[in-house]
This record gives sequence, structure tokens and C-alpha cells, in this order.
Amino acid sequence: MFSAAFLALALATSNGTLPGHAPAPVHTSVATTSRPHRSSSFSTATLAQVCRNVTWLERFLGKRDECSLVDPQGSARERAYYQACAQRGTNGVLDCHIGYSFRYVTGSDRNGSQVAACYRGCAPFLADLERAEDAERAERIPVLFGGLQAVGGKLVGEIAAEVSGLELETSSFAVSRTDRIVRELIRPGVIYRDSARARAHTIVGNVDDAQALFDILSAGGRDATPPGYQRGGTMVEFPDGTRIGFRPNAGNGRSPAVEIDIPGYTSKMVKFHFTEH
Amino acid sequence: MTELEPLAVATLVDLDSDEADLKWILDNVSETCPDADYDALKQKVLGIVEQLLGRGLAEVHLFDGTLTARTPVEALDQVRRRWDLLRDRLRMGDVAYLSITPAGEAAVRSAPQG
Repeated sequence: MFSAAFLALALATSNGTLPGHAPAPVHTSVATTSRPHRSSSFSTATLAQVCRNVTWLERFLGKRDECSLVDPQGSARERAYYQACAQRGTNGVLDCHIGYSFRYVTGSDRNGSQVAACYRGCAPFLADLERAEDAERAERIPVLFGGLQAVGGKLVGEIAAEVSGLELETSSFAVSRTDRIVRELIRPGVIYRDSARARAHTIVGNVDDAQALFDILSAGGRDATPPGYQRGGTMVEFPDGTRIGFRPNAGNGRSPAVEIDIPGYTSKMVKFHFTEH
Repeated sequence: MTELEPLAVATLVDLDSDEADLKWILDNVSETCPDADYDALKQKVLGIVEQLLGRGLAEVHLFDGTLTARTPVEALDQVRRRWDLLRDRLRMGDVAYLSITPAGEAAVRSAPQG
């Protein structure tokens, strides 16, 4: 059980750069159709990576509360329930089953696969995952000799079993542009590297990955590229004033960048540089 | 580097990694001076630009495609005039961006680490 969970975790954290370029290891059931309110489940690995990305997101934008729970297009009663959960800062579903208080959003990637983004209560979940990983490493030799049983509290395998058994309510939904930006930036498959620069973050990937991210984020915007914009760059603007730029030659050609300026959401620009190393 | 103000040094180090437009620099300055009003922040940014241009450590590129003036004083004036037109609505991609010069890169390399 542990081996499978760790394999999944390793795949989730090492595979690919952006959805579409390297498929993210998310659950394959399709969620968003005209029929509302389908169900799916999320692997521990998927949740773990999303949570890790969300911790980055908090650094990017500083205002995680702006990322509100997505409204399911279910009944009015269901919407009221989710809204109430969101207002309380907890989500009843995950809270009941595994003892963690996740507030989450759900979505589907371009392949129709689902992703979940927990953005509150991630810390204890990740801490337990890390403890479980440490315990697994400590027990690796006994495992090799067939002895097994890791120690500690809630282990990865247990979490995986519990989470994979969940039926998370999902459905199609209308999303704000900011939610869409947030969702793209926390997807499984987006791998961040540490950066010493405030508001300038590094994603593992190349210029094609940067272009792909820009294409998704800029859809529906009008071209607002100034004549003197940086070499080869493109900038779009939305009616709410959000500007998104793509500079393939950023960082003296070494690190193509997507940059975002969302008035009213975060008053400060953020940059995402892409590097293959 | 030592005669530059700390904010100008920080901006130069930033430019060593990537070009930066005025909004980026303004945001950096506002993080350092959270209580300053917009006009004070603007003056600080222009002061940074002045220092970097004046020492040949950075060059300015106007987003509207017009040529940048030859002298630092005139270039700064171009920036200031365009920014004044926007009042307090400077956004990403507005007015101008800065890039580091070889002299600027050398200054960053020669600066004491830490």
C-alpha cells in the first residue's frame, strides 16, 4: 500500500511541467458536463501537490481568501450548503472523513481530468504527509526484508485510502477570471522552484510551457501590447483592468516569463519565470 | 554601488535577473515603504531611475515606441512626463521599463555578497 502511494506521490511531484505538455496524474473521470453535480475522487498525491502549490500561491498573491469556493451548479440548497462551508472556512466533506479541514475548489483541466485545490488547512495535511514519508524512509530497510509496518500517526497509505474513498461533489461552474488564473497556477504538474526574489517565482518549464500558460490565461483578453514592449512579448488586457504579459526573452533570454497584474486582487505585479533546471 | 541608495541597489540587483517596468519598481518600493502615499512612492521610483541612469547602470526603454533621449536628464524627463499623464493609474506595461547595462552588471558582480 505504501509503495503505491509513494509511487503516485513521486509521479505527481516529478512529472511534467504544465497540463497538456506532460499529463498531470489526476483522476481521469470527467466532471464538467451539462449535467450538474457529478462525483469524483482525488488521490492523495494530487491533493498533496495541489496543496504544495497553494502554499506557493499564498506567497504569490498574499490574499488566499479571495479564492472563494466554487459554486456548484446544483440545487439552491446545495449552493447554500457550499457557501456556508466556505464562509465557515471549512469544507464539510473532507473535514468529516479524514480529520483535516480543507477548503477547496475543484476544476477540470483541458483533458477533462479533475483537479482539486485545497487552500485552507493544507499545513497539517502536508505535515502529516511529510511525517509519513520520513517514517517510510526510516522503515525502508525493514520493508525491503518484508517486515513492514511504519510507525507514527496517520500514514500516507492510510490517508490515500481515506481520501481515495471520498466522493467529492463536483459539477460544472462559472468561474471568475481570477479564479481561473489561480486555478492554472496551482494545477498538479506545475512545479515551482525556490526563488529569492519577492513576487518573481520560478516554474520548471521552457518557453513553450510559458506560452501555453499565457495562452490559457490570456484567452478572451484584448491585445494591449505596447509598441515598445520587450522583444517578442505580448500583453493582453481585460475589461476589469487585469493585464497579463508574456515575454519569451525575459531574463536576457534565459527565463521566459508570464507576468500578471490584477488590480484590486493584489495591488502588486507577480512574475513567473520558466526555467528548465 | 556603495553610493547608491539601498532601494536603487535593490532595483539594480533585480534588473540583473530581468528587465523591470516602472510598475514593478513601484511595487517594490511600496513594499519597502508601506505607509508612503502614492506621490512619495512615485518620487522614490523616479529617484531610483535617476540614480541608475545617471551612473550608466541601467537604460530606459519607452513603451510607446518613441526613442529614449540621449542624456539621462532628458530620459528621466520623458519618463516623468508620461507618468504624470497617468496620474496614479500606473499599471504593468505603462510608460517605460529599465534594463541593466554592462556597467550595471559589473557593479552587481563587484558588490559584496550577503
